[in-house]
Amino acid sequence: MSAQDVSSARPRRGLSAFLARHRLACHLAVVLLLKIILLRVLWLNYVAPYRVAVDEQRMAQQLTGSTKQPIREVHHDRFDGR
Amino acid sequence: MIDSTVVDLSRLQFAATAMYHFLFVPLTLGLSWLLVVMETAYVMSGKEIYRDMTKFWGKLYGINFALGVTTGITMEFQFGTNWAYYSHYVGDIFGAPLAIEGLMAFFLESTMVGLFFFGWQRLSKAGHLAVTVLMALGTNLSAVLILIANGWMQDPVGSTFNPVTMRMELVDFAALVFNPVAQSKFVHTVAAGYVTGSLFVLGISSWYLLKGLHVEFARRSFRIAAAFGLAGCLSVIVLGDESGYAVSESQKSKLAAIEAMWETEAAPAGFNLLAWPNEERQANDWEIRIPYVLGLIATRSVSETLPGIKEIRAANRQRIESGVQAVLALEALRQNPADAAAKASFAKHQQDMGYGMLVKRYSPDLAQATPAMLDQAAHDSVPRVAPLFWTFRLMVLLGFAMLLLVGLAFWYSVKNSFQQKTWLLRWALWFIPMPWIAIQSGWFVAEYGRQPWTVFGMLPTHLSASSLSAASLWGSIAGFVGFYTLLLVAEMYLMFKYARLGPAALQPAAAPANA
Repeated sequence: MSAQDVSSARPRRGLSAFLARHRLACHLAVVLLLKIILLRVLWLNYVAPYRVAVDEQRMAQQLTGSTKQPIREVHHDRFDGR
Repeated sequence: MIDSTVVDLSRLQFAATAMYHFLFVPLTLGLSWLLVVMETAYVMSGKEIYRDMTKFWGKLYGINFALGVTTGITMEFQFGTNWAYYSHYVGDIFGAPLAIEGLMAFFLESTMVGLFFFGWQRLSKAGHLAVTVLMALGTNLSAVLILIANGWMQDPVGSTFNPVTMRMELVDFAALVFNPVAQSKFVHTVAAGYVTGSLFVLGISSWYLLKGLHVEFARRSFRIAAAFGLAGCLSVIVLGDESGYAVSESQKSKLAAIEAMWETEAAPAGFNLLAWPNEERQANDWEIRIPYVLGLIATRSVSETLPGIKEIRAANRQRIESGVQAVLALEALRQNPADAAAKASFAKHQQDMGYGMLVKRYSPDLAQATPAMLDQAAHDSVPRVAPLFWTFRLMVLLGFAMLLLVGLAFWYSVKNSFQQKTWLLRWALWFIPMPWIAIQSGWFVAEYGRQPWTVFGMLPTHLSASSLSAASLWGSIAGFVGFYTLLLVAEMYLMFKYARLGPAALQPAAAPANA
């Protein structure tokens, strides 16, 4: 009898038995968790800081206001944690 | 003044990413229904060869689907990053179909794609066929929702402007969904996708037949593609006519530019088969004209006139003057909401407000706008003629050439003699890229023809772009083009690899990369 057969013959209990029964579900859960963490890190580092804030005041200025400033990226365009 | 470099670069980036994305989408649209046809033949006949055909073309579908998703997701982010003013202004309306597409159609499609590939051993024959049908429905449902959003940009129905929130708001969801422009765009676009899928299968099958490889497999694939392609091509042409009719109703400037029609002429207008448009002279240097045809096609009547570019510009000049009054009244209302005179003026001129905004490209302060600026805005309210004129004709020419090809392919399929027609097989092989060229031309006509608007008659393009720097835009364009080119090379490599292998690609040993 090989070592593998011995280990498979041994009855599993508790968490290891649960993991053995739901192997695919566990893999998917781990992958999902890793994805969420990765997306959150990417979001916090590369998306949130560069969000362009536009509200009705800015929109009004863009469409009707007689702004003399060229439309360029300025500091208050940046997301500042408001 | 608005920095036109930033606007132009934002447009270039969106156009580049959209064109890359739409290299993958039409093949997905077309192959999905071809897979349904092949698998239905398998379920009904029980012949293993149809299952192999479904699996093989399904493998190519899977490669294409993965790359299509990758290129599509970034486009939605661009609305927020590069088109923040646009997103604020129309997000309430434009966001709805995009959200439904993501949450419903794309999720359906993605789930079914997984079941399609991994469900062969786990599902019954009928169950797997149901999965394939749902996958095709999801793919097409995605298209309908995206084209509802795009159709609204072409013809903004069912919405109204709210001067308090400074945004467009949806007032009639049914009008948005059943917008005739969106519906005609949808059927025209998906039919073009069916032609793409058909010519892809037809071309690769022809290559097998020319090489004497996988003959039975190729013969059956060829027949299915020829029949499906003929139905698709006829649909594209009929529905393209419907799409053109919708444009003639809602975007007369686009139609006039496509047809290089400078002057209004007595109904029914003639059709310029070929011409050399001259923007300076606002006339064609020469033209080959077919009497009555354009009027009959575009208005479906013998008495309705189509306005020429000069008349459209003159009408737009008046709307611009009225629109300037609307914008000035809105500005006054925002400073003093109780201003009765401003309220009355805004109510009177509101329908032309978008036209007034066109002048902001030349004068940030509309109160200071000169007649020359208004003239310039009116001139620019019609897109440049030559690019639209030639691109449209390229699309139409390719469409009819493809119709001839699939018509002959179908005819010789019925006569069971296509294997002997090597000229036809070569033609089919070399025509594989043509649907893509026609489709990209079609999108160019649709989007360039909408200029200078992002939302026709409502929001000019130059007011829609985010306030980014040119340097950051150059960086992101270079990144996108580089990355997408890598994806395209990967797609071409995988497609060539598996197409060369043919049905042998279904054997695990032949496809270690896919194991």
